Amino acid sequence: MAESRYMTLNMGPQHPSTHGVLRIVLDLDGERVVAAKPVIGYLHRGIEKLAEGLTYHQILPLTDRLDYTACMNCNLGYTWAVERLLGIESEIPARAATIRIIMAELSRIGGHLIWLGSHAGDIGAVTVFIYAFREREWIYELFEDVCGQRMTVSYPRVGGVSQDLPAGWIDKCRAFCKEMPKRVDEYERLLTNNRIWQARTKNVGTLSEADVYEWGLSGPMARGSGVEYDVRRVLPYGGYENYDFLIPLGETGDTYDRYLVRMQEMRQSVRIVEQALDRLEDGPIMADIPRIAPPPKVDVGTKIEALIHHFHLVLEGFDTPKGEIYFPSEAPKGELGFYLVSDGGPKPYRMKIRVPSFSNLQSMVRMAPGRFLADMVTLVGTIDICLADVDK
Amino acid sequence: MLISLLIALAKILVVMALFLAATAWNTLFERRVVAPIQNRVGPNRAGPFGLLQPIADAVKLFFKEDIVTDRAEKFLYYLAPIISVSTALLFVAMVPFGPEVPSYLSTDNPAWNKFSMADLNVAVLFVFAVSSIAVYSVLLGGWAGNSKYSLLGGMRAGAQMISYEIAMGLSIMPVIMSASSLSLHEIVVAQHDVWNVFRLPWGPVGFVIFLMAMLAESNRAPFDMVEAEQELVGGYHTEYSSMKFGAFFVAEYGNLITISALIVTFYLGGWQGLPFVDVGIPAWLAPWLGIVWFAIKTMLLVASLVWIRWTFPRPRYDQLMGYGWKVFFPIALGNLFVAGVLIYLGQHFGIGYFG
Amino acid sequence: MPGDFLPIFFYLLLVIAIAAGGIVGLSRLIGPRKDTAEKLSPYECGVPLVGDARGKFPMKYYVIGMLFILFDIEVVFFYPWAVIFKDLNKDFGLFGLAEMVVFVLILLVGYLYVWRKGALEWE
Repeated sequence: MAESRYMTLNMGPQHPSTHGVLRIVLDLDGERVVAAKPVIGYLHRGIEKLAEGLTYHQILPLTDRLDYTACMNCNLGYTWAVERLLGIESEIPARAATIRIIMAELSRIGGHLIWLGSHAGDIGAVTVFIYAFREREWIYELFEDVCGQRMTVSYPRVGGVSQDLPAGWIDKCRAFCKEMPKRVDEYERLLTNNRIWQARTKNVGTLSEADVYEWGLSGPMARGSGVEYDVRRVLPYGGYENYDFLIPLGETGDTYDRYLVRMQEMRQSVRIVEQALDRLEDGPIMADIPRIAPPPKVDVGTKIEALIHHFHLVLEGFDTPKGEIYFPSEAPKGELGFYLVSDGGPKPYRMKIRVPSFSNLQSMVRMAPGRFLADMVTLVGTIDICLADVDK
Repeated sequence: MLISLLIALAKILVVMALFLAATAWNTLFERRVVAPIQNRVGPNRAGPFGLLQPIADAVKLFFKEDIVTDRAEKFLYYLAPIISVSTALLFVAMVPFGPEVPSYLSTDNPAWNKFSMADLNVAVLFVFAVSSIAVYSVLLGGWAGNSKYSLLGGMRAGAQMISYEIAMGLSIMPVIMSASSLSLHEIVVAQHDVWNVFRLPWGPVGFVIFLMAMLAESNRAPFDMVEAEQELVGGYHTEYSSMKFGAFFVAEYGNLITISALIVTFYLGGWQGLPFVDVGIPAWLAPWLGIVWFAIKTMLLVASLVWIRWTFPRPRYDQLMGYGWKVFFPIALGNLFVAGVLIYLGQHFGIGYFG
Repeated sequence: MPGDFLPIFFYLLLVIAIAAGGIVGLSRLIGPRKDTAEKLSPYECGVPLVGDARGKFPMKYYVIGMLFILFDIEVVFFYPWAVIFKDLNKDFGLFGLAEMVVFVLILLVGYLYVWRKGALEWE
C-alpha cells in the first residue's frame, strides 16, 4: 500500500459526538483536517418507500421517526401537507389549529434544547447538557399529559388533533412559558460571554450567504449567515401569519452566530406559545369531515355512523384527489418539506421528504477543510443533525 | 538509626494508605460535589450516602475483561498505566501535611521529622521531575495502543506539556525567592505572616497561573484535551480496559488531590491555620491541628477544581498552546521581575509583606 | 544528605510494586479473557480498520518543541538563582536582580523574534 501523506481517520459511526450514527471519513494532516467526507445510511429505514404501502393515517407514526428530537414538527409538517393535498386546510377548527401551533413551538424549543445540550457537551460544557435536558423533560411531560407519549407523539391527525388538552394543562404550559426565558438566560450566562466558548465557536465553520444558497441550507444554518429564510414567514401555513414573532439573524455566519440565533429562536418560540395560549378558544378539535377525520372514540362505541366511518378509515383510508403538492414547513433544523404525489387512491403514489438535516449536513464538506479535529465536533454540533432525519 | 528508619517507613505506609483511600473516595467526592451543580442526586445506592461506591467500582474494574489489542506494543502498553499510577503516588511524597512531628515520633534524621514522607532540600525539583515523568504514561499509553484516537491523544499530551511547563516553573519562582529554599516545609514556614496568595501584586497572579498550569499538568478539564471523550473517544486510554483503564483514573484522582495540596503548599499557607484561630491551642495538639487545616484547605480546593471542571468548556489545544506561550509566559516572566524588585525593596526597607 | 532520600527510595519500590502487581497484574490475573478477533482489533469507531496508527505523523508543534527546550533550560537556571536571591541582595545589592534581568532580556529578544516570525502560530 502506498504511503499516504495523510492519516485516514474514521469518526463514527460509533463515536460519542456524531449524534447517532454519522460517519465522517477524515483525512488528517496532523490534527488538521484536509478533507471530510460524511458517510450516511447507517440508519436508513426506507420511510419514503414504506409510505407507499400505507394509508395516509398510517404514515403518521413513521414521520415521528424522522427527526426524533422534534417529532411533533414532523407529524405536523406531514398532516399539514396531507391537508393541503386534500384541500381541507380552511376546515380545520380554530382550536385545533392553535393547539398545533403550541405543540409545534414547544417541540421546536425541545429540539433546540437537544441541540444546545449536545453541542455544548461536545465542546466540553457537560453541565449545560444536563440543564438543557432538564427543560426538555418538562416539555416532554407536557406532551405526555396531552397525548400519553413523550417522544414519538403521533399527536396530530389529518383534520385536527387526536385529543383535546386535559384540564389544567394550559396553566402548566403557562408556567413553562414563564420560566423558560429565565432558563435560557441561565444557559447564556454559562456560555455566551464565556471566553473559551467564544474561542471555540467564533470563526469556526463560517458560511457566507452564497454558501447558503449553493448548499441549499435552511433553518438556523441559513439564518445564522444572515439569510432571512423562515418558512413560517416566507410561506406562512397553519396560521403562523397571525402571530407576532421575530426572526433572529446572524451576521458573520459562524458557529457562534448560529448559536445566538438558536438561543433567540427559543425565546421567540416561547412568545408564540404565549400568544397561542391567549387565543385558545373552546371548540371542536377535529374537522367535521367524516370520510377523512377520524371520529371521536366515544362516538365509535355508541353511534353507528361513527363506527362505519372508523371502519372505513382503518381498513381503506381516505381517497385523495389526483395531483401532487410540495408542502414546506419550518422544523427546528430547517425546512421540512413533504412532496406528495397522489394517483387518487388512499395511499400516496410517492412521498418524497425534503429533510433539513440532509441538506445541512452537506455543508460539512465546505466547513471542515483546514479546521482542527477538535473543531469537527463543533461543526457536527452546529449543523444540528439528527441522523434519523438524514437517513430517513 | 534502624528505629528511625522504621519510623520513617511506618510514616510512609500510613501516608500511602491514607492517600490511596483519599484517591478512591475522591472519585465519590467529585461525583457528589458535581451532582448538585447539575441538579442531580449523585451515587447514593452503595452504602450510606454511596460511601461504598468506590469499592464497588474497584471490584467491578478488577473483574472486567482485560483486553490487549493484537496490534498493541505489549511492553509499553503495560508500562504506561504502571508509570501513571507510580508517578501519581510518588507525586504526593513531598507534600508537607503538617509541621514538626511531636517528640514521640521524632527520629535522628531531621529531614524525617516532619509530617511528610521526607523533607528534602530539593523537594520542588523532585515534584516537578515526577510530574514531568507522568507525561510519559500518556505519551506511551497513546502510542502503544496502536489506535489512531489514542495516538492523537498522546500527541496532544506532548503539545500540552510544552505549553504550560515553562509558565508553571516561572510562576512558582517568586515563592522560592520569598522562601529562599526549595524545601516545601520551608516554603510553608515562610508564609507564616502572609500567605503567598495575599502578597500583592505577585501572589494572586502567580497563584492563578500556577493553578491553571497544574490543571493542565494533571490533564484535568477544562484542559483534558488528551482525553477529550467528545473528540477522541477517550484519547490515550481508548484501548485500555479493566483495571489498566482504572489505573489512569487512580492517577487522575490522585493527582487532583496532590495538585490541590501543592497549590495549598505554595500559595495558600500549607498547614498554617488562620492566625486568629490558632490562639490558645495546647502544644500537644498544635502539630495535629496543622494536618486538619491542611486537609480542609485541600478539600476546598479539590471542590473548587471539580467546580471548574464542570463549568467550563474545553479549549482547543492550539489555543492552550497560544495561551501558554503568548499570555502565561510573558505574564509569569513579568510577575517574576515585579516580585524580584519588590522582594529586594522589602529586604532593603525591612518590609516582610513583599516576601 | 543522600540519607534523606532513603524513605523515598523505599517508597518508590513500594509504589512500583503496587502499580505493577496490585493494579495491572491483579486485573490481568482475575479478569476473564475471551478473546475474539473483533475484540482484539483497535478502536476504529465500529468499522473495519483503515490504515495503521504507526504511520508517519506530522508534528505541527515541532518548532515550539525546540523553543520549549530552550526556555525550559532558562527556567532551570532560575532555580538556584531564586534560592539565593535574598543572599545576593544582602551581599551585592541590586547585582543579582540586574544580572538576571540582563539574562532574561537576551532570551526575551529571541522570544519576541520568534513571535514576530510566527513560530508561535500553529504551523
